[in-house]
Amino acid sequence: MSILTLNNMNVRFKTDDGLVHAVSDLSYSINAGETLGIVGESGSGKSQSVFALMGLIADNGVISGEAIFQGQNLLTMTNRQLNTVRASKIGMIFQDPMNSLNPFLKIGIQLTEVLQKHKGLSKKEATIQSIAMLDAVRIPSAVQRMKQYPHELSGGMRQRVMIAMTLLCKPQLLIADEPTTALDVTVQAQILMLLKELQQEFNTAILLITHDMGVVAQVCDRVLVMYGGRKMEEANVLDLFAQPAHPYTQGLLSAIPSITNDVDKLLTIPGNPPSALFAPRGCPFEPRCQIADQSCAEQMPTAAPFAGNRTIACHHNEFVNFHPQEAKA
Amino acid sequence: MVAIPTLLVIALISFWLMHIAPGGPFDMERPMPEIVRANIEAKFFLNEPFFVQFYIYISNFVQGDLGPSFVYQDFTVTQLVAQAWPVSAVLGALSFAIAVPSGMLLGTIAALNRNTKIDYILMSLSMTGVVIPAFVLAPILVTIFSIHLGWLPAGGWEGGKISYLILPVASIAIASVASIARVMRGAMIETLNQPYIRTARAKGLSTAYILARHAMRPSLIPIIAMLGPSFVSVITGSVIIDIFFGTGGMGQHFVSGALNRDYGLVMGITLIVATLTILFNLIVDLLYALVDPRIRL
Repeated sequence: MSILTLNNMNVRFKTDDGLVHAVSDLSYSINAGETLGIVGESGSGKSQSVFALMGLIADNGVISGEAIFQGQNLLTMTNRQLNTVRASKIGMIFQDPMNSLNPFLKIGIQLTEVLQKHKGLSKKEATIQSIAMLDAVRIPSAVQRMKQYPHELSGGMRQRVMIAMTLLCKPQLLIADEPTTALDVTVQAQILMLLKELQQEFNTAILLITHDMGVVAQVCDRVLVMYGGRKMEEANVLDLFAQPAHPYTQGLLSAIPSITNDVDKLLTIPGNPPSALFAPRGCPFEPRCQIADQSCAEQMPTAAPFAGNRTIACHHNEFVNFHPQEAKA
Repeated sequence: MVAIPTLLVIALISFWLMHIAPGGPFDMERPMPEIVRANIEAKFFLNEPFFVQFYIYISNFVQGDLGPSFVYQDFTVTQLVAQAWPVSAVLGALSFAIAVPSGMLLGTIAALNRNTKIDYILMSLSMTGVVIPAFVLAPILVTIFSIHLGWLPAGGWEGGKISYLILPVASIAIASVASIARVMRGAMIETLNQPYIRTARAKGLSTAYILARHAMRPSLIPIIAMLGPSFVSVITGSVIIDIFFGTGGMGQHFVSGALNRDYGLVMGITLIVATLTILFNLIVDLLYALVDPRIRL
């Protein structure tokens, strides 16, 4: 059963230079207990698309479309209404554990305030539950940690605190915006494992934003590939890695260096991502796409179901088996 | 502990400055007989070499004796200061107690309404407040409120009645309110853009709670940094205000002392102000540690 459904969400920013098209026409849904990965390069709109859901975008942002969560449209809620959803039903983990915790407040305060606000617990009760949650995310000597400040903890520990904080109210949906980007690989693996375990325990749906294909392969059930603020492809994780359908996805996957083959030159997708200031008429990937033709420049392909349960936005569905490496050879 | 050498250096420099200034406390229009002058100079050790004079002064100072006033011969400097300091303390403390919270409040309001009419109005007002010096502001306020409206007295002290306090305190405080408001606005905007404030919002906490609990303390850091200079400006501001309103604080003695070459009085007040400033900076450093846990060791 889907718990969050996005229909044609757009996020725009009014700036002095013009309208920035951060997210365009984004639709997807996520089921309870499922992990949906959103991948894309920097500036592809993946982070802004989830900030918009939580009402956390900058003041100059304009959102349209709908995001139905438990029968209500998150995008039209007032800040006050959103405050009943934030943390209690949708939790959010941020990218940068170093700066996402308030350096001026003790860990304990930052944890208990969530429970006091949303569950109306007493300070004492909130403290007991917070300590239990710190134990659950495997932070050693949790009782002492409550009295410490964030700067006394390592990056990995802080991210665990962040995770504990978002899980306190057992939200149905957990949005994780690049939760492991700032961490080293060992800690990254531990954090991902932890997320997976907690997901099974609480049956939480996870929306995982990342640009790391390795992370996707490790934890996601389904993947959504974004480019230029639009959905390019959505597929089950195994299907996507086995047979990427969209030319951008193919380029992305072929850019992952292999550990078995020794190569002199890493593969890249030539060109640069489009500026969000100029909304192209056609497909945003057209200037860099090797199979683009006139129709790609003129008309944006709509995201359509393709080959079973995947969706792709490409005029050239017939090139599913096209591989850039072979084309170059 | 650095305070003591600092204070010594300040004392030495002001002692030296007083001595190289032309004229002395006993220069009259009509020259006094040579023998009388020699007697007077001997009484105040003015015939001794410079460093001996300085040594005598400092050794009295550490025993709490600020020495005699060279002009008001019936009083010691300690007595003069004891009379004047309550006035200055009340004026300074009141100005400070009003300036800091109201500056912070106005700055926070401006930050929350960033780039709206409210922000622009507040910031233009505070810019005006920052650039108008107290000696311009005080006559303007007196013209409006004392002469035209007749609401408040134009000067005097009257044992510190509130109506006599309003104009002097306003004249001293307005510049500080304005500069604190500007700094607070910047600090608050900076804080509100921090990732941890986004976290707090994602936690579903109310805006008022986020401001009070999450955003206020980080924004205090630049305000605390300002308190030192702001304290000095309150003191220097009060010198002018003292004279303008005839409130009889230390500022009045300081200026008349300087004009009369009353070495003892000027030295005494300089050293008291210097001590206060050093003390205040120490308090400021302690405040930092209180507000920001990362500064505690």
